Amino acid sequence: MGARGWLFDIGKCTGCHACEVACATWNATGAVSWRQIVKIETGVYPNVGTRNLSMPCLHCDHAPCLQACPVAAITKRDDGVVLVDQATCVGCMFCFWACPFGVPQFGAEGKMSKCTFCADRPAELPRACEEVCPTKAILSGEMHELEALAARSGGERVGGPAGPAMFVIR
Amino acid sequence: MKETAGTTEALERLRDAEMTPGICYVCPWTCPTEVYTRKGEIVYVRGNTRASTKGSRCVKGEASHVLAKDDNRLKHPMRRVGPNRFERITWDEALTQIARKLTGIKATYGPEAVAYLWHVDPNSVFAQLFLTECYGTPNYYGHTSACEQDRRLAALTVLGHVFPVHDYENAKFIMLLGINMLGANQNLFESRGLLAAVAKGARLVVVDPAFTATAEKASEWIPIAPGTDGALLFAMAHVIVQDKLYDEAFCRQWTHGFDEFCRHVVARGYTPEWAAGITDVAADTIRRLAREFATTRPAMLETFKGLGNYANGLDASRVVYILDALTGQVDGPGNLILKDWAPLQPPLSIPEARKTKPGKPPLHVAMGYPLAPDLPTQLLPKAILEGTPYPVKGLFFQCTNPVMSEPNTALYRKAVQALELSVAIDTYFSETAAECEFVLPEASFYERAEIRQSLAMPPEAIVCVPALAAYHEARPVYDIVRGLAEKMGYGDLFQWNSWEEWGRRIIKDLPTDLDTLKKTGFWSGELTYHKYTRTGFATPTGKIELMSEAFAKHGYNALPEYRDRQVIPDEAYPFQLINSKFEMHCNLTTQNNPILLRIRGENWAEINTGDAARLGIRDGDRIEVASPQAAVTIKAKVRAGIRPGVICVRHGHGFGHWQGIAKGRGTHINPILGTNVNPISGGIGYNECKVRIRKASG
Repeated sequence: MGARGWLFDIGKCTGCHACEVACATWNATGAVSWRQIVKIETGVYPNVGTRNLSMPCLHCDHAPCLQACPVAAITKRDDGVVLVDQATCVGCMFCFWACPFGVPQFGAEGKMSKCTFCADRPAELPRACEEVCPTKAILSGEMHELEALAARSGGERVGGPAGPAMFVIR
Repeated sequence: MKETAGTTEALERLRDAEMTPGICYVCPWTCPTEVYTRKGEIVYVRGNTRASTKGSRCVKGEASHVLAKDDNRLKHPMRRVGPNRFERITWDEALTQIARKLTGIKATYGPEAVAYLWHVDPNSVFAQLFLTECYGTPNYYGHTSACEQDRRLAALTVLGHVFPVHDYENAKFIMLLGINMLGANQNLFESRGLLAAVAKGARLVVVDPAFTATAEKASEWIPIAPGTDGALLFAMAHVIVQDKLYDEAFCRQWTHGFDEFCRHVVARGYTPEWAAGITDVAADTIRRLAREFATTRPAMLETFKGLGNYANGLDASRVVYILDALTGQVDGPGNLILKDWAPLQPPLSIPEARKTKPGKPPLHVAMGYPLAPDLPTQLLPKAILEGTPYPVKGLFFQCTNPVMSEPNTALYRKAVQALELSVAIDTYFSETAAECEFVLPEASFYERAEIRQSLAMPPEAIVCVPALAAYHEARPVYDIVRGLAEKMGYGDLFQWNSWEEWGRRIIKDLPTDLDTLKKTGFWSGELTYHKYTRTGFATPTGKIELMSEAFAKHGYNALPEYRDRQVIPDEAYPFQLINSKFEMHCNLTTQNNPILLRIRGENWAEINTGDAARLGIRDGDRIEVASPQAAVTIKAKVRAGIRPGVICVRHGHGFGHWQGIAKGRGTHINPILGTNVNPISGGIGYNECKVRIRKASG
């Protein structure tokens, strides 16, 4: 299987947080949230615009968190999914400083946790966030398939040296 | 979109769980769900993947599994023994005492002195059958006057349909006024359809003083002056009539009052220039919108609660549907859908010999609102406190909290306190329950059964199979009503060994069986368009009524008129107060939800950037919002996306101290609102309020 990642359609996201809650329920994340939802209003009345973002882990090609981890608690699966082993994690937060997107979360026990791409779900199933999204703004899949889909709608891959595994349609 | 249908078994395996089809009852849109449980606990919930939800769920529904184990829920029946003091009683004590009081009220005042109010209607059909047919009161009502009362009466009057739904996906021009489809999380298939239409290039025009979640996705946002939508709509009609952009063949065949309506809008002078002065929308813009709407096919014009928030909302809502009719855009692909209902039967039938006929008309008729589709609930305190139009002595509040949700909080509280019998049936304690003599714990939608209509486009029945065992002593309404019936000599009519018994009666006319439904969660019929060509419209004339015969019969204007809203800001109170809901909240079941409160802990008042700068208010400041009636303090949200001169308060917060973590969070705005009721529909004018604001001290 090739590398997997996300296709996020900003035009369809309403910033409703349903994905965040579905993720928390399926993955039993407790007090931390593995998806960060941001709503940004821009412009001057009456020329106003909004951008909604729903940010999971972007499972980067060259994951800075993985490179920064001093105890090798972070690994990358063959399908590109970046995972953290909480038993090994020492809670030093180096990954948090290294991540360009502020993804790593730290709960009461001080260990890092983050989006696992619903690690236990087979590839043919949608991720929890993806299946509950009321407007189907989130799509998961293999990067080469997503690239083709994104191209059809003028979407682009999120840039940067880390190689984030997400395409965005604006 | 990745296919979700057929993935149920995979999820069951992954979580060692069992899927039970359910219905989410956090709000009245009742989405069908799949509830995954393991060892009696919920591990995951998603939308029903085969039904119209296609797996989707809104945020408040998705977070609602919390209530299955929430320690703050009502656990056993209680009786009030003093202010904020309740004692635990048994179900038998509660039902015996309520039955005794019901018998006493009937003997002294007649059965009409008892009314039943619900908000979301889980199983309340059992209460309806018992109270209206056995006990003999016609007063069984919902919450519509606090919501889309004007829209509902407009749809009934013009189109003869109680609740049109929407084929957004196939529309090429969509204009929405006073409806925040995407922010209010209504029918989820409609949200998806609306954005799919936009992605395909449909024009979406959103008319709203606030830049809503729906406006975000619009091709054009029209920040209209609040409460003036009617003028914009009449002017669009004027353009369509003057330029003969109507579908004349359709109008001649399927509408009543076509010539009269056309002459009326011209004679009244409802021109774009006239409307521009009222709405603050340029005449050229109005002209362009009218032409775009009338010449694009398929097109849709729609409203919901927004217009009805003003005293002039009923006629404005009528013109919405009149415009849809003038252009022939009714019940076709990409139009409003006058949906067919699934052929469901009552769960039980009361023999004629056992029925009690009411001696008085229903309250809404006696109050002088014969066309109101639901009780004008703002007039209940008058019935209770003054006996007008006739005394109301007993009230049931099922899943409804009018002391909080209605304007005039203090008056409503006083009215509930004055009742001889007051019963709250709910999953949570509430401000209304706090004033009731009896508080009965209701089972949540994870713990009870139901079969009901869905709000999908085709005729569809949905099934809720109990996923969890009972929560403490909480009971479904069907069991509560059975208990009351037993105490009052009707027990033999309300008997069943399991819910499946009455469930089979409900679905006896469906081409399926209960065992199948218990697996799939729904039955869906065929979606058909233009049904009126076979059946006509369910109006007095059988046609779409541009001119209403029912209105004429009751002495109202048969043709809609434009009137100003009632409350206009002035020098002392220079802002119009409007309200909108959060996607996070509906009813009591969301108020104390830790997931939802973590995402958004309190509500706020939105104020335009320029207004805020002038008043020295910064984002996040606490501000005082004062009406002529009262004042509250609330957090300010300074934004560009709100019309100057308008304050938009998001509601759903500021509930009582008794609700665990919700305590002290946010502001309840209703105390500053006065009574404002539409004179025909009885709908509540929540936005008929002028306020002044200032930075709160300290």
